[in-house]
Amino acid sequence: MSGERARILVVDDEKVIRDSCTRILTTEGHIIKSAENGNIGLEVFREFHPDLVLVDLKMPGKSGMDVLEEIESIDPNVVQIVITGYATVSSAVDAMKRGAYDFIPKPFTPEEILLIVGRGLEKRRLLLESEALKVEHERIRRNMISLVSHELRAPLAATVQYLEVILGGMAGEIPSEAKEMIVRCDIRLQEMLELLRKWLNLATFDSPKMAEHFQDISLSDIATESIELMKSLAEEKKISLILETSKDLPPIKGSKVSLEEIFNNLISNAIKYNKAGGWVKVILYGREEEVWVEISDNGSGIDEEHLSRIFDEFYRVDGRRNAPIKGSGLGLSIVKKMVDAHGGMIDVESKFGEGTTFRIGFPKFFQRQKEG
Amino acid sequence: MKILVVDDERIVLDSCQKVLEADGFEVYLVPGVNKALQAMKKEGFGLLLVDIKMPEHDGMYLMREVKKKWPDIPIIVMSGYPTTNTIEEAVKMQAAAFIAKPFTPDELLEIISQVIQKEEDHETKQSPSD
Ligand SMILES: Nc1ncnc2c1ncn2[C@@H]1O[C@H](COP(=O)(O)OP(=O)(O)OP(=O)(O)O)[C@@H](O)[C@H]1O
Ligand SMILES: [Mg+2]
Repeated sequence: MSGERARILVVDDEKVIRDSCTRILTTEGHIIKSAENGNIGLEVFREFHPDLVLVDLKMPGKSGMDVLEEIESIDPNVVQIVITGYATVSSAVDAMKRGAYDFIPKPFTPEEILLIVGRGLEKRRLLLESEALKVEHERIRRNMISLVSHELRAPLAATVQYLEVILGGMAGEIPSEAKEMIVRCDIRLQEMLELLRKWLNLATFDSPKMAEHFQDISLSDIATESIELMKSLAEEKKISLILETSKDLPPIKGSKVSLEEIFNNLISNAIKYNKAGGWVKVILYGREEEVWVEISDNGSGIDEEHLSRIFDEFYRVDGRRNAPIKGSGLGLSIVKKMVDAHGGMIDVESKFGEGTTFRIGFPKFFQRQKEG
Repeated sequence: MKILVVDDERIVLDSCQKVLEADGFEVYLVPGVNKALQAMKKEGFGLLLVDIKMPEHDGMYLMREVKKKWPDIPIIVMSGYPTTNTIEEAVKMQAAAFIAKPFTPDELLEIISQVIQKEEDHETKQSPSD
């Protein structure tokens, strides 16, 4: 913006100020419009679309503060500079607290106003740049989502769909050696599909939309179902699954699908990163405002230095490509996002070699309103 | 029983046909929403298998139309995008069940038999016992 022609609006009831601003700023090549009161100022603003506005705080009629507020609501990226008498510097400070960028006390020299407007226009340039970056970022995100779902996941899913039909014996007899190979392909492709599913889930997760479907949920039902689902995985590793829940556990407001996702991820981790003969304990209890979930295991534990990063996307303690335990590193990022969407909090305690406990507090939300 | 399968992916249609015919169902395949609505006017189906996220009209639109005109036909939603939001949406549209693509033949048959079982229980409860 600096060095280019900018559009500047001056709103001041004093003609000398309007004229001197216009004269000084025009010589810099800028396009200036002015207005003698707040209402006219706003009218001009809407048609002129300025980059920067200079507004006198003390005017008859609509106050400068009101003008600034309305401008802010129309376009928050417009840079606002307050013109003020020496006696009213404190109200300029108020205006800046509410979002004005700078102020200039009257009377001012040409150098002073050029300096302040110059800084303001630089600010405007940065605002527009960051806005453009945000739009660009969103565009890339959307393209990526569309690429992953349509160009990667869909054809992969179709391929695996055929493999399942072939393995189901519905396309004729398969020689046993070929069958073994197809099974191995199937497993590798399923891992890829699961990675893409998790990534898409994270990238497209829309928490306001999810909140529309909130209903009363019993966490002990969710925990029971999730444990049922994980049973075979646990039996393979000879790990016992234990559920302890208090009888009068109150319901929470939440989304069934995403609460299942939370439990499935945490319980599967506790099994995956465990040793044969280990245990996984799920404990549920109510406290005044929250329902608490504790999922603990006596598995491998997590070293202090990794603990703060396990909720990061794609982070795995054993990050090697051929790590013996497979995973995407997205499970806990999804958990974190979904706990947040429920207004909950999650923390983790772990001792390397001894085990790990994840603790989540879910607010009961509308619970209190019903009681009162 | 006649089952209508709606999906724009040839492989999925073909797979459903193989699995369902082997289990004795009569299977009709259509590639999109318009063809599905045409087929439904001609045939009486006992069950619909619908993909959500098809080009042209979204499967959600088909579900709304079916719920309006044939409210008693159960719909199983298939999706290659089994994200939390997609599943929530299907539940809200009163899908009888949700199945993530790709599925194994057993998963598909299991879900269909669950849905048919639920329908039968529902009917015997509604009609007065004699
Ligand atoms: N209960 C646990 N015990 C020990 N380590 C754990 C436990 N839970 C998570 N971790 C560590 O945190 C990392 C991140 O977990 P996260 O669930 O996000 O990803 P993942 O399990 O590797 O992959 P995914 O869940 O997507 O299959 C894991 O790779 C593992 O190193
Ligand atoms: Mg995990």
